[in-house]
Amino acid sequence: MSASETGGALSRRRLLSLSAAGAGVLAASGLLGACAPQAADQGDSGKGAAQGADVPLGELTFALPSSISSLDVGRESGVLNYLVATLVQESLLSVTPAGDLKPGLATSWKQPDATTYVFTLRRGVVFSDGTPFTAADVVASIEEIRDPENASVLAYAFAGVKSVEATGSHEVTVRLKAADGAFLWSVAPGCLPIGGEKFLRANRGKIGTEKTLLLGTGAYRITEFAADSHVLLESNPRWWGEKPAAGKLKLSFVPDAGTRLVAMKSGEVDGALALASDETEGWGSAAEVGYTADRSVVSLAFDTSKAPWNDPHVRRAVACAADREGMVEGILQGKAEIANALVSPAMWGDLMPADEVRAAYAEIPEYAFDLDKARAELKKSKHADGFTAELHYPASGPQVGKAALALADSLKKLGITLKVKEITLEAWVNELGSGKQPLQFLWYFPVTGDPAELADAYLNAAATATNIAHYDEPAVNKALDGAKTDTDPASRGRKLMTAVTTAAGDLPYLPLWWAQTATALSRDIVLQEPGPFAFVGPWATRIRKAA
Amino acid sequence: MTARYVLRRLGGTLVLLLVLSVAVFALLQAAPGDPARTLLGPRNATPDALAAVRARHHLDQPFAVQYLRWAGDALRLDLGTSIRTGASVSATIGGRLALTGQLVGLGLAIAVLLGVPGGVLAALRRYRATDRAVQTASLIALSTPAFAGGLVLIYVFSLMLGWFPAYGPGTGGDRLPHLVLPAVALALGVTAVLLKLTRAAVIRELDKEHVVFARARGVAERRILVHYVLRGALVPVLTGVGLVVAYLLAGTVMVEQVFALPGLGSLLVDSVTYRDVPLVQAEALLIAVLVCLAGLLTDLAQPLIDPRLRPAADAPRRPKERR
Repeated sequence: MSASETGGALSRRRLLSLSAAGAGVLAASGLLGACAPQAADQGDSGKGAAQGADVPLGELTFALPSSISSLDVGRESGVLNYLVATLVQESLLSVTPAGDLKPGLATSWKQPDATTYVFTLRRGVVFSDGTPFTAADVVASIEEIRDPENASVLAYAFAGVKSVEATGSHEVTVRLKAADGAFLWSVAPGCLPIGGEKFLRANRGKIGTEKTLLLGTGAYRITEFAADSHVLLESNPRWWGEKPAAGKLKLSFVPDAGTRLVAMKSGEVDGALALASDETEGWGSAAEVGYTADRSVVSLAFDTSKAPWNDPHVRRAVACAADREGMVEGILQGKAEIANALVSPAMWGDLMPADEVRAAYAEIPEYAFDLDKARAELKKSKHADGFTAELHYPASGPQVGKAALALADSLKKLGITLKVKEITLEAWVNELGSGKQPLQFLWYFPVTGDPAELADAYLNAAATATNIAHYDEPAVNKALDGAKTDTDPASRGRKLMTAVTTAAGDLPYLPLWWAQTATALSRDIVLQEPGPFAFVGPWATRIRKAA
Repeated sequence: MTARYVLRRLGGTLVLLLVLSVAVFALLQAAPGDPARTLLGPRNATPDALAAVRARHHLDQPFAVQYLRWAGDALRLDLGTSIRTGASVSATIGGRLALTGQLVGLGLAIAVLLGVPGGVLAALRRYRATDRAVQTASLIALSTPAFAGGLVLIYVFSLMLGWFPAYGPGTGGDRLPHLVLPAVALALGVTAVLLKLTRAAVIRELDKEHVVFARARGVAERRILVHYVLRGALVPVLTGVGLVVAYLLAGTVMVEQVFALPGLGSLLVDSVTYRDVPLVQAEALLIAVLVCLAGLLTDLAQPLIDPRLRPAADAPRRPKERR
């Protein structure tokens, strides 16, 4: 075991988790959670059938790769925060592991007009402390997020909301300022954790700390939280769903990769969640490891308003010089998918069937690794003799840094000097929207399962704060604006697909890979229905004894 | 030993703490990034929201005002609340201080129990096989980073032998077995330092004339060792012990990561990354206080052990030395 390497990686991963914190947006491969074991697509296919009987499992211990500092996803919204919080708190809607929106605390909803949503709430639901759940709790939860005083990380999800009202003891009406086709994702677990009104009011600013914990209606309740150590949960006897097989959970924060592996091998933990996919070498002997797409994307962003990146030939030259296959195989051990668009195929959920998504993505012009073609493209540009550029990567992403160095090596052969520099995660976050760097990494982990989250923010010319490529293509803008007001999922999906594939051809961004994360479980247990969204819901209720 | 000496040392410590708190505050201000932006996340960072957060945590005020506000509260023993978690700083630190204290205490005990006798042994057997073996072992220990040593320990004692748990602080009664491996990992380098110090000090004493003379008089070897050599070596060794406390505290950052222990080290890393000013300040000062205290205790203990080190006023019966 290479000590120096593991040691380095652990502290980086730790930072990584921090990143995901303040910035639900920013990706962070190591810790981002939506991974799943025994994945249907990549994992051990034989294991997929192992649907254990509903035998009580007692207490299970899982290792998480870094600590969370707050249980409240409104304060820190990294993947691990969701992994813990969604066991405890539910939302109006729920997300299936595959990414479809389903009823949650709302049993049904209707949309009388484009900007109004009426949610009918589930009856007979009680919070884990015994308080009955009513419309007032939903309103209070949303208002707490919207209140600028609270500085909630989730506030953006409700920026377009005009009003939230309890229109009955079990009915909530939300009115928007303008139509938003993706709004339902705002009332799903990624953006709206629902807590009790009284609890929220009484504990303002203290929720999610070791003393105050969380209150929810979910499958589990937290009995103890110690940052940098562990979270203890036990199944909530008042939950409206079926009693989970795992009665007690201990989620231990084990930041060091080597320690984690030993803990797994010595049987101190029953599994490890949210592992970086390049970490799992050596885990096979101790656990069943599964890989799933985690929806995140690692991409280069070219500022198309600045030379030399305003020249499409230059962008194409770089695209042809990027050995994406080599990156995925060599740096990520094949545990990632080569990307040709910003939006991961796992993001289309209920908007478009997977095969249609794949077919549409197959139409995107291909820029395979070919240095001769890259040279030819560069020759056609105004920068035929090459140029010098800088590329910064966050310290929390060593794999991103390796990819940058690989790219720099290829570009050197074209006469382009790429200076690669590691910067702190915080510096990288600050640089991202500053416009100072014409060439950047965009490493993004979506919160929702809606393609508009990425497409609208990074491809629409109107999104001036986030569109770091300054990409402005009328056809794309039109498709994105159209999708915003479109309430029919199928036609909305088609519009978004037009935008995503058109932009992919123009290369304002050069997507490198869609990442995967790994889950390792002892051979005694299985996680049913793994999928990209498995950890944005009560995942532990799907753990069963292995058959 | 006069009270004045103690007061002077305490006064010096206070000034040092003051300077340190200003320095930490200034360094955090100078660091890149914006805590308000980090708190809100990039998508919410509208100018209004940023202004609201800054006003709430007084980040919009001049440096001096921010510092004085913090210092005023701190003097009233109110360390504030963490910007990042909303939890009270004193509660957060209090919970972790115990664990780190136990870890450092155990580490120090191991270092002293292994390093000092090892050093004496090496000195008595100097330039012989035992000395070389001890010295080589200490060289290896010294050059092993704490996290690497930790991983090896976990691998051997936890996975292969199954003697100790691999990670975590344990609960209540089973704290000690959980802390053994981390404390050993933490103590490795420090043990080597103490060993070298002790060896050098004992060798120096062995060569002193009064030792040679004692031997010539036929004083028993054991008596020479305990009453002459070790007594003389005690002061430099004790100084060394005081100094290594700071190293042990610094070492907890890595060791706590490897063994997944929720101590001060891991808290410090998180807080600095987030520029969680109240927490970083409190922690930096706490660590400084601990280091200063260790130094102070060493300084105060020295005159007790060695009368030659007592301040002149303290020994009025002795005439001043003539030059």
